[in-house]
Amino acid sequence: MRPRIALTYADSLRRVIEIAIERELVDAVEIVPSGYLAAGNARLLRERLAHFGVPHSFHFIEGSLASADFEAGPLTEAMADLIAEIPPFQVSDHLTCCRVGDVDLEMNLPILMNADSLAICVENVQTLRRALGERCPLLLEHVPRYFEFRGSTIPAHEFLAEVAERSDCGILLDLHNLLCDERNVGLDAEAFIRALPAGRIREIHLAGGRALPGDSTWIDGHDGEVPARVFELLDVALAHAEPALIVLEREHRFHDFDRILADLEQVRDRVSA
Amino acid sequence: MTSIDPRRANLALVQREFLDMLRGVHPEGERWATEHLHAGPSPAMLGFLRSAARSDRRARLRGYFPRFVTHADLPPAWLASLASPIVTARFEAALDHHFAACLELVEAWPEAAAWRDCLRIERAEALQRRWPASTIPELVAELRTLALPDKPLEFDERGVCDRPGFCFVQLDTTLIDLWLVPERSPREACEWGGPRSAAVYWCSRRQALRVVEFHDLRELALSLALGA
Repeated sequence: MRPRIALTYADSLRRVIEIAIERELVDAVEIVPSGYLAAGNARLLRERLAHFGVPHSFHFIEGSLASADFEAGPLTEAMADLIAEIPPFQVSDHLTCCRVGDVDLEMNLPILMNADSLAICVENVQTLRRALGERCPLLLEHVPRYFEFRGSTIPAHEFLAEVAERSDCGILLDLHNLLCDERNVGLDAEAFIRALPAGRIREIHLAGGRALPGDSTWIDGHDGEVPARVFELLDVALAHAEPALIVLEREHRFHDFDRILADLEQVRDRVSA
Repeated sequence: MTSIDPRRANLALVQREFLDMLRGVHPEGERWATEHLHAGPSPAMLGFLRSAARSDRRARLRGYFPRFVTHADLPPAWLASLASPIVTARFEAALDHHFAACLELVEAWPEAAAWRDCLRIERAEALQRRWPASTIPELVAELRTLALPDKPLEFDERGVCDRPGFCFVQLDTTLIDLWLVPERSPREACEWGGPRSAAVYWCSRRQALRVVEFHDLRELALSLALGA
């Protein structure tokens, strides 16, 4: 089945999304609902999504699903309430640890990948699934590995696949994160994609980024055009799996709308081929 | 009594040390990174992460509105109900928690061109809400012309810059970007006193509290560090 195509919602992209819908470049919207969660402003979110008249997915960023002290609580209750009030067709969050105790760095940070952390991730994801009421598919996204832990004993693709399998969740394959890993830690991105269980890959993210000034580190900035290598990886991913959704993430530097539309055209051409 | 899972306790210890290392508050952060990480983060990456990490979400949310709930998004009645807190405790909290962190980032990546362009794009987005017939690229181009980017901002003795399209008040070494409305200017605000009073006055007029609008410090760090 042909996957849906979405652009991330940002206020500045409102007109671009309208144009993309008119041109049949997108048929869904993905939104990071954090601001609305924090403000308790589901009404505003509902109005904005209703404006487009297309299905939506939620991409959460606050779960910190690899945190040792993750537990169900007010945050997961707020997420569940939002899902119940404005039902998405799927939701996702990240396999990262940016929060322990009262410290929350709100970033996608690399994680320790060993047997214990894997078991804890599985428990955490199962906890989140129960908290969300299993109203829609839950997907897990791997994050860029700007560096790696010496204590990691499980390859990243195995870790992601195992957590997804054991917790019965989908995988959100972020191709720009893989580009970061290719450039920063020498990952074989194509092998990574092919090693994942195809049936679990329900969503794909595309984005652009850039190198830190004076440094070769490639950052997942979500602030530029999609690099050609990411489209190559999209071809590999589409040959391997049949995702339900492909999302172009653009969250910063909203000044090159034509290029955003051009990137969406490339996605559409690939899924239509 | 609930027993603590030893696996979770051990992992929590590693994760806490990891986050403390990134925040630069681990007493032996360098040694920890060497012991626990393969080829740890580069100095630039570490600087980026540390700058982005030196914040607390709850403190930030107390200090300013989340990105997605800007003034322009709110109906007038809500805006009225929110105006009062801005000019009192929340504004001061923003100065303490928010501007200090911004300053760190600005110092870490002193790319003036990126900083100014970031402001232009933000301003253009705001102006487009007022004049939707103009596109954001058109407005950015117009702001670039107005700003004469080769010419540095000039502040008078009160720390006020009245350049058309860019109205800044300098508070200590932090730039506060005030929203421009045609009939008002920072100079008018400064009739009420020094820069801090001017900023408070501006907020009391429901022009937004501004440094640069962003969702979190990671985003600001990216804007400043990675801006072309």
